[in-house]
This record gives sequence, C-alpha cells and structure tokens, in this order.
Amino acid sequence: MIANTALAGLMLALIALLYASAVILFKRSDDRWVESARRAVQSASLLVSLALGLFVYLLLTNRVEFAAVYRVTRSTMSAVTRLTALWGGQTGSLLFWTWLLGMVALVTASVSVSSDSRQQPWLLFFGLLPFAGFLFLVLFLDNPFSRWWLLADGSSLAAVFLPGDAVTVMQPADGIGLNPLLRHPAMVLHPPVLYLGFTIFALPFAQAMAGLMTGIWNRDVLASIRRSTLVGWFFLTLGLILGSRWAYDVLGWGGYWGWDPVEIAGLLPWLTSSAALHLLAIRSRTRRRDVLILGVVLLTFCLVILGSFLTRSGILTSVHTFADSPLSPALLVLFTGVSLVSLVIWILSMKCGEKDHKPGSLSFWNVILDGSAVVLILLLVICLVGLSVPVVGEWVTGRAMIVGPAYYRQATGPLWMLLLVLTALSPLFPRRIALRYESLRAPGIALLMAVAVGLLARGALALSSGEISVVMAMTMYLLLAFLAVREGRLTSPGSHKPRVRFIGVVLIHLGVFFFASGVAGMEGQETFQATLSPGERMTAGDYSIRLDDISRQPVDEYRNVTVASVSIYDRAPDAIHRIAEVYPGLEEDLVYEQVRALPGVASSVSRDIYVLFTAWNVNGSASLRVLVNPLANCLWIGGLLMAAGALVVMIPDVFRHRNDDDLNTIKKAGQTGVADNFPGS
Amino acid sequence: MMGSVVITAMMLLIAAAYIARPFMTGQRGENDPGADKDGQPLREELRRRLEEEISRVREEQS
Repeated sequence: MIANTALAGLMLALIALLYASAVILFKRSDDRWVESARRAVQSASLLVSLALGLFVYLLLTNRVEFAAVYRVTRSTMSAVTRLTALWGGQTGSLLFWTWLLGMVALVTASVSVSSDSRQQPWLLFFGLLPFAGFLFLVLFLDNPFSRWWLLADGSSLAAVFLPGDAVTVMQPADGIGLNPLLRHPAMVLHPPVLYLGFTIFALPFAQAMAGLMTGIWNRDVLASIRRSTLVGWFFLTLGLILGSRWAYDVLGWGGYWGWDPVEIAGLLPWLTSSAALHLLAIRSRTRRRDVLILGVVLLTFCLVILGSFLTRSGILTSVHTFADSPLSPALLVLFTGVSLVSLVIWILSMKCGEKDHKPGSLSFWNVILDGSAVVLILLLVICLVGLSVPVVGEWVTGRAMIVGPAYYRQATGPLWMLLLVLTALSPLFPRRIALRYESLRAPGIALLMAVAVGLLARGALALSSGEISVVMAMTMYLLLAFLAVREGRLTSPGSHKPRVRFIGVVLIHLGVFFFASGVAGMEGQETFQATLSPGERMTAGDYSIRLDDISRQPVDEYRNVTVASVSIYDRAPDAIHRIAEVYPGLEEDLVYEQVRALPGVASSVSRDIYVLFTAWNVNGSASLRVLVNPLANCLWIGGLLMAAGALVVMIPDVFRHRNDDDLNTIKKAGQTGVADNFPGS
Repeated sequence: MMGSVVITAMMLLIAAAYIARPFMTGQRGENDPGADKDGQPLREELRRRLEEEISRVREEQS
C-alpha cells in the first residue's frame, strides 16, 4: 500500500505540473488560471514530499523487497546510516534531488520572490520546468518503488508493476548495505548541503528567465536574483568544503581535492555563481550588461544539470559516479533542452539590449569586480576543456584518455594567483582611476607593509614562496579594508561602524585567503613510507614515528577492522617527547569485498601528521605511509569563513525584506492613493 | 490494494479541489468580504494594482 500510494502521489504530481505548464503557456493573462497553476505547483511539491517521506520510511524499516532499498541498506545499519542511504544510491538521491527542486518550485509558487507581478507566471513556469523534468526521470526511468519479482525461470527482475511472467514478489534475506566509503559523519551533511546548493540555483534561473521573457529586469529584480544566488552559493561552498573534508578523512590518500571529474562538475557552478555575484555587486548602467549578467546566472543552472548528467550517466570515471545508469540519454536531453531554451531567450534579449547601449564611466571597483568575474569565467573554460578532452578524445581516437591533476594545476594556477591579487586590491572601492599622488599614497603604503610582512614571515616562519604570496595578499587586503573603513568609504551614513554587508564580504575574502594558504601549504606535502614491526620507528621530516601495537577486531558480522597504535615524537636527538598518539586502521568489508585505509591524523595549527596503515603483512609487520600536510587546517577554516561571511552578507537582506520593502510598499501605496482599500494597510 | 485506491482517490479529490478553487465563484458571493461582486478575490486584484503602481514609480525614480 505504501508503494502504491507513493506512486500515485508522484503520478498526480506530474499531472499537476503538466497542467500548470499548459495553463501558463496558454492562459497566463487570466489571473484565475495563473492562481490555479500556482496551486497545482504547490500540490505537486507536497505530493512529492509525501512520496519522499514514504521512501524514507521504507529505508528505515529495511524493506529490502524494494530494489532501491535493497541496494543501500542492511539490517545491521543504524537508523542514521539508513537515512544517509537516501542519498547514498542513485535512485534515492534522484528522488531527493527532485524533491529539493520541488521545494524551489514551491518557493516560486508561494513566496513573492519578484517585485513585479507580471513576472509571476514565467517565474512559476521556469521554476516548475526542472522539477517536472526530474520527476519524469524518477517515475519512468529510475523509480524508487520498483520491487524485486521472482520470474518463472527462477531469475529476478526489478520492476514497479507485476511483470507478465512473474510468480511473486521476491523477499531477499537482507540488503547489500551502504558503500563503506559513504559511512562517514560528513556524508550525513555533505550530499544534502551540496544538493541544496545545486538545486537552489533553479530559483535565480527562474527569476532570470522570467526577467528575460517579460523584459523586466530593474534594480529590484537584479537584487532579488543576487539574494537567491548568494543563498545557493552559501550551500554550495559549504557542500564543497564538507566534500573535501570527507575526501581527506575517508579516501585515505591525504589530499582534499583530486581534480576528479565530478569534483570539477561541482566546481563549475561555484565559479559561475561567484562570477555572477561579483557582477551583480555593481549597479548596472546598461541593459546590455544586465543581460550579460543574467546569462551568467542561466549558465550556472545549466552547469548544475551538466554536473548531474556527468555524475549520473557514468560517462566519466570517478569515485562519485553511479555506474550503469539508465538515465544518461534522458539527462542529456534535459541538459540540452534547458541550455538551448536559455540560450535562445538570452540571445533574443541581448539583441533588444543593444538598442539602449550607452557607455558609462569606469570606476576602479568596476575593473576589480568585472576582472574577477572574467578570471572566474576563464577558470570555467579551462575546467570545461579538461572535462571535454577525455570524452571527445575517446570518441575521435577510440582510446581512453585522461586529463590529470597536473593539467588543472598548471592551467589554473596563474589565474588563481591573479584572482588573489584582484581580491587584495578590491577594498580600494570606490576610488576612480586617477594617477594622483593622493589616490596612490594609501595603496602604496599598504603594499610596502604587505611586502614587509611577507619578508618577516619568510624569515621567522620559513614559509614557501606560495605561502608568502598569500600572506602578502591577505595583509594588503586587510590594510586596504581598514583604510576604507577609516576614511568612511564603507560605513553606514552617520556612523563610524562598517556596513554589515561589508563585514560579510571581508569575512568571505578572508576565507578565500585562508583557503589559499591551505592550498599553498598542501603543495609542500611530504610523504614518508616504511614497513615497521611493533616497537620500531621511522623518521618523517621533523618527527619520529613509532609503531606500538596492532590489533584486529570485528565491527559486525560483515566488517573487520585492524587498528595500528602509532606514537608521534618530536625528532629531538633522543626522541622521547611524545606529541600525539593516532590509530590508523584497515577496514575490511566482506560484502563489498573492499579494504580501505582509515587515516589517523594528529592535527595542529601549523600542520597535520596524517598516518595511513596501508598493509598488514604476514610476518606481523605493518606498512605505514606518513604525510606531513602543512597548513591543512587553513582549508577548513577558510571554507567555514566563506560560508559564515555569506550568512553575514544575507543579514541586511533579511531585515530589509521585512522592514524596508513591506513598510515602504505600504507607505508609497498610501502616497499614491492605491492602497486606500488595501486589506491590511 | 483497496486501501491504496481509496487514498489515491482522496489525494486526487483534495488536489483537484485545491487547484480548482479560483474558479469556484459560487462560494464567493456578495457577502464574502474577500471578493468583489464578480467573485474575483479583491485582495489579489488590489495587490496587483499596487505592485504595478510601485514598479511604475520606481522606474520613474531610477
């Protein structure tokens, strides 16, 4: 009954969305029809929520006769792990993704995200379009409510309804269980936060499309798009950082970013949304520039669907991809369709924008922000080339091709550095470009002080050249930001305190500098390997590593863990000062026939000592790999600062939306006399 | 099986009634404070006019 109810809910939801689409296409001038379409979208979102709730119930109760449940759960798994299994498998994660798109559609149908009611029908339409597309995939190509059926010839088949030659529903004894790599605390948060980041970009996409369709993209519309893009950017940043942390903790290779195709697919919308936020920070003077900005917003969501295609089609080899997917052609059609529709509407709007093109004066801030956006788009192009080469190369030559991390590091490195320089100079806002002594004095002093700090850091802390560059850029940025506040350029009128939004922006950029410090530090990673018997030591840079003991213990009937007890000492002449004790392990999963190394990490402000237990040899010795990762913690601090900064930037918008918008609306309405009969005024 | 048919029928009815509500003018008559004499929701109409006016003023100002 549960599955049938959920299936009926999904089917009704799709019918409601088709109805709403038809209404908007053919009856959007009639308010009653638009209101009916709005209600249809709300109903569809709630019906999909019901289906999702029922699927979660099936996971929690271990109903392994359903194929999607069978593949990711096992009776020995805890309730929390079973919940994470929702996004641990292809089918469940697709339903979850669709539900998130449904929530975005619900927002477009329920909250006034546009200041102009003429946009409402198109906002609704482009909000429901991706929702309906993915709902179609869930219902007809990868249904979470497919059951195992026992066929007459003794084989089994997963299908929603009773196949013609099926005897009965098959009831497996237990499920396979979640992939061991996905059983990590970060997996509770990383996928949902990342998915939230991706799917929220459907909202600025719908807003931008509604703006282009109606020709209305005034200051309020662009501000609204900036707000929704920032919310998506916040979740995407947090999701990527959590993913990096998961890779660092679970994949057992001591890195945080492997330039894996799916990692890059997640980075692409981050690059374009960052570019869009930089472009939206300046008030436009021409409609042509507005259309360009809206193009970047549209591109962000197209890249989200491209990422979904790359992850779910299995076209590229990655630790993240779901293999043997039936979704590949449908996702390609969806991506092509959304991209083509966006492109056509954007090009038509671009032509309209040419009519009122007028040049404006150029401020220093324009150069910095537009320059940053251009660099981010160039990074996007490099990543797209890297992703395309293996696919196109294999298609042309017939041989498998791989684009490795070396390409990305060499091609993107100078651009990341340029981005840091632009960021360091950004607090010069809003100076005009004028080569006068007065305007160059403050930045000149800041530059000299940054160089002095860099030289001091080089002498005192023995930093690498990459780390020194980041320290200098950060110093320059902080000094210029301080000067900007002191000169009253970034304070609220009548106050000496900096604007809240500016504090948030400073936090975000400080996060960028911290993250860059971590990246520069990790470039100096040192690796040491040795095979030790209990009681023996090895040297790892400034440290002495001692293997104390090895023990083996079963976790449950399907898993064993072998743990090495390892002590880390300062490499003093006698090496007696123990600074940490870590427990790297080897986890063996009997069902997946997978062995993975669980790292033991001794973390400090300056570096992580990352110990991996790579093999337990027949003579009782253990093979250890020790990585010394300088400034690894700066990565996580930087990521969290970026996310926290985005939250602070949102604060004025929240209060402005409540106080300024509503009150001014009523006030202005009162002045114009329209609100005399307005209920609630 | 019977249970799921009943639940599906209920879902269908509730959704259909909710979606069709804007057309149910019979329930919104002269005595309904939220509707005008044609049965149109007054509040929505006023809100629309208000938003148009605000957009016009803002465009003039910018």
